Amino acid sequence: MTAEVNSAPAREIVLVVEDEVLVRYVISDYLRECGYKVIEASSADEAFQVLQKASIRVAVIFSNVQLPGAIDGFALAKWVRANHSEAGVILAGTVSRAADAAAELCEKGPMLSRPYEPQAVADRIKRLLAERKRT
Amino acid sequence: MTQESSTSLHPEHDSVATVLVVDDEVLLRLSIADRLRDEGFSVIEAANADEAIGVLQTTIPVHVVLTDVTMPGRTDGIGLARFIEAHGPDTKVILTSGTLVAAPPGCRLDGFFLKPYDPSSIVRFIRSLLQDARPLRRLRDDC
Repeated sequence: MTAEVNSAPAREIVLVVEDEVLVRYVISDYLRECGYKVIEASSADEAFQVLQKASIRVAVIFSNVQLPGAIDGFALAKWVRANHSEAGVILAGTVSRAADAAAELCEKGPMLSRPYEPQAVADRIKRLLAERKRT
Repeated sequence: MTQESSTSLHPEHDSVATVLVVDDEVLLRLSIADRLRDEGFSVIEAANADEAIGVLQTTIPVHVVLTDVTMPGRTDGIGLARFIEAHGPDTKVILTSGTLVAAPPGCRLDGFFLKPYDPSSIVRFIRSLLQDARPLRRLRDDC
């Protein structure tokens, strides 16, 4: 898998929150090839630990909607909005009921449908970061 | 990236050694995984032994498993080492733990590091393990 189109000039940090190890591995490796520094979290709890570390400045959180445990991707996105508004959130999932919630929580349109193409994720991250730099 | 040539397991095939890092402490896992990537290894992160077994059951060749002993879930690091002994004997296993652990019989065990460990020591040890490694059989071929 190559990532020629989505080269990122800076080592911005993307936090990938995904409980399926192979899905997490594939998208994380792809985003690393795009030039991002990627942190992998297997649950919302792990994501919180990363986000609460002051020395780690996460630019984008890319999270599955459905996660094990009490906190799903929507709840994680709400927490990020309240506590780390500097970070953008992109959600991915197959939950159709949540279109409104996703539109509210994701900053660039509705959430990505699973399964997704890694390039689509990289494109969405790139657009989100560009948008944030303009504002 | 340093000593790239020594990281390659079989330079004639231009293959990079893959290390599966298994730890339920996300910040610790991140730290050692990033260090290994900086050193030129291909790294897969697993948050527990069940995830690690899921990776080992694919055709992804894993040369070294660096795993914590104490982890939540159905299987701990010892159980993972047992699985590898039974199903992937060419994969090297390094255990890490906050306390000294005696590995029971039936476990694959190539090294042990007491936590907190020095990442440089882990890198050196993995390189030494891989120097005389044989070409890796893929786990799925053995099933």
